[in-house]
Amino acid sequence: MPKTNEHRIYENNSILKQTLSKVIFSLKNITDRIIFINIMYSDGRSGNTPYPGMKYIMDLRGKHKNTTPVLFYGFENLERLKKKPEASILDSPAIEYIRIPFLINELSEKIQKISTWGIIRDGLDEQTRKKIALEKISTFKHDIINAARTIEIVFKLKRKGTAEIQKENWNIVRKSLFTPEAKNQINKNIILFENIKYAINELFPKSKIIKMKNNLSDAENIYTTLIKRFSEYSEQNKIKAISDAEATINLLNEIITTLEVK
Amino acid sequence: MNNKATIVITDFSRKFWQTAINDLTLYSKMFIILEMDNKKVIQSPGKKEKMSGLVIEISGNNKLILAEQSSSNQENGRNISIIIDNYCKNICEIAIASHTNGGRLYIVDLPESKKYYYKEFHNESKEEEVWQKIAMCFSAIGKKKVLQNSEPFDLLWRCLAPKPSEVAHSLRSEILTPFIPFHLFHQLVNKDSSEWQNIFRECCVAIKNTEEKFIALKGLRKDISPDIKNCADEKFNELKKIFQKSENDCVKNIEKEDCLKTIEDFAQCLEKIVNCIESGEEASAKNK
Repeated sequence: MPKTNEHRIYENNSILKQTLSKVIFSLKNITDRIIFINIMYSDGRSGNTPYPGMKYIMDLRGKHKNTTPVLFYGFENLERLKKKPEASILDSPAIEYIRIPFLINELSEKIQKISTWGIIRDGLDEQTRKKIALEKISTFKHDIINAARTIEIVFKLKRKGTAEIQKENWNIVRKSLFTPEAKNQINKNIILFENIKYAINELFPKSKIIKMKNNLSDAENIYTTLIKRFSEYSEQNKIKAISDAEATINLLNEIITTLEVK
Repeated sequence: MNNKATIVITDFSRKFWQTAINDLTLYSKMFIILEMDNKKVIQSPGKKEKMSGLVIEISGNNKLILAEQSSSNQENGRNISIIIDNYCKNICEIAIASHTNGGRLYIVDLPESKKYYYKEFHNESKEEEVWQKIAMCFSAIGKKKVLQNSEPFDLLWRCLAPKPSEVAHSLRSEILTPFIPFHLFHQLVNKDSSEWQNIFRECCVAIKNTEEKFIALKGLRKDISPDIKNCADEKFNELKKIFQKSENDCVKNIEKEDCLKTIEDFAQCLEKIVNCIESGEEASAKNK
């Protein structure tokens, strides 16, 4: 966490940032552990949201487990703001909001209020935590569906035809599965699964998490074998590749079913 | 009228590209982008290998651009920047729909001269509004309808571009933010004179640029009550009186007048306008 006052202010307008820094520095009750952030602050990486500043803090608290107290500021009326689903983080611990333009003594009071928060274990309220978890799970589920669809191309080998046509199908499937994205698609999801563990833990019991993890690991092993089978064209390899694809897709479908419960 | 471009970034299937090209081959205003990596290549339809994107000119000089996604964030940024530099030269506003799988696209990596609206989507998902509108565009491409009828394009654009209430919030912030440093600094007991002058000058510049945005904000909804508008006009004129004088006159004026109150009152009036736009939008959404 940066140590100077200026660096703890997240504001896109440079003059406002400098002025806020000066004002905050002039206050006697300031501690070095508060983040000041405009609800509209954007680092250009926040995706779809009307309040990128809030999204930034959601990530900071959810993903990076940073529990520094936060004072949001913005032009919006707090009551109206609180009614919006994107602003649920305002209910989280050690979070305050001040509406601009404000008087410096109002700011001082807010800082006083927020400074009284002790060490907090979890920086997000239940609703926000669940919302973030559901978003992550939705992306993960989507990726698993994509992986299963890509592997379905192997079923092209089931088609009947002359030896030449069958060999041609073999080469088409081989070409599709040998792109870097297709080769790594299950491994990529194993990494993603680890990265969103906090979201998975939030929504699923331990037994289901272990089952999903095992399914991913088994799917990766079978898929690696499937890819190896394409080193040489043979009738036997063709039959085994289809069987491997079916087994991999079944394992992925089980994960999708588990994820659909939420 | 401003020309618009909508860029859809996803993992298009080979079959999709083939169908799209075959269906649109007779259409002359279509360009295929081949192998984008740092090379500017515009190819007329015909070659189908290594295809990365498709630029379709819609009626009214708007563009629909379909681009193949990459699994790397940097590569996505680089590829889309090349498309924007080459195909969106006369376009100010660009709406981007990006498939959530694979690499992400960060607006910060794109050319700064344009205004971007960005949304991510999950494809093939019936619950996703963005995907539904994209699917309508794809279907129209298949039936060549998009070439004569821009409705699917307009629907996708509306889904990606911000709602009037979001524009209102953003305009209010743009209008008021330059005056907030002044409002804060004025309250400080010890004022550094050079900083004070800088802040003051910013407000003088801002007041000249604000009128257009203020008019745009009031024009976002027709049924804003005249009382609210008049009150906002009155406060805006007071603010103009403060900051449209010479620097010396203005400094004297500031000492005499309650400038902080004028800024606060103006903020209150804009709040009423924004609330009116937001409430109106909520009411129409409920009626639908």
